Amino acid sequence: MQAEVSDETDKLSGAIADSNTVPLQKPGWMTGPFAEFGKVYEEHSQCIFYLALRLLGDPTQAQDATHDVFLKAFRKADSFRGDAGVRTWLYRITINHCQNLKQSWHARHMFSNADDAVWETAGNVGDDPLRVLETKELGQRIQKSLETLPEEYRLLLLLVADQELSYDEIGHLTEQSADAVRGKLHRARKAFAANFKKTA
Amino acid sequence: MNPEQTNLRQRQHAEQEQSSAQFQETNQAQVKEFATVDDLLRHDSERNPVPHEVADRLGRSLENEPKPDQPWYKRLFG
Repeated sequence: MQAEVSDETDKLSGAIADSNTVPLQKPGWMTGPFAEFGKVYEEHSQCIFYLALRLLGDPTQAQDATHDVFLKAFRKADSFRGDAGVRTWLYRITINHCQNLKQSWHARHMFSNADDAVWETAGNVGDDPLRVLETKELGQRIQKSLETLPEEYRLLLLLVADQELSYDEIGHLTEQSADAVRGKLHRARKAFAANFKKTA
Repeated sequence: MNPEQTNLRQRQHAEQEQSSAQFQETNQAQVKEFATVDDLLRHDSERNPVPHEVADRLGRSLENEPKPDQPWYKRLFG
């Protein structure tokens, strides 16, 4: 894959990254009566936000979803059965929440109907390293590549990117066996890599 | 983490067509190379931190919630 060069987008990307990563004082509620819930938020909010961001494709909607997911979790703590980890439980709430949002937006019409057969014939392109420039377009390319995948593939890729989740836990979340997850992930990675390279 | 989980995750990592990410500098921009799709997505996640505004907004929402009979973590963990 040929590298792209863009001074302006790099500067912009750097500025955005800097403003997002400046450490701020912890909000008061995290050290007050909701301190324990604050710890849960601190530990899991990043992965929840990222999943929502890439499932919904919109940063503002992802912020709203992250807020709503944690508020639901706070309200529904009694429904946590303990048969899965807290993160898995939060992921379940997030997946349901995002699916409901997308249905209400009729967002399914925005996504192409990717044909598995196309990806099966993608050859070995997925075995090559993914070489990219660090620009703000990277996120757009990733989003575009994810959106052209079948919804199940997209979800599996996003979940397995979280190293804290096992295949068993991903299988539990997506209601299938760990072996099925493993097989589909192989195809999903290949399909993503093929499509990502087309976006260059 | 129990040994079974550790072994499972080691197997998973081995299945990711592993090799270390390679970095290559150019004059004007940084080119990064990711060995796996998983690595690329993890990098993307790191580049998209949850905005601080979400925590602030959640705090305001929690203030309006009825105070639980027992602390949240006890409801969650028993």
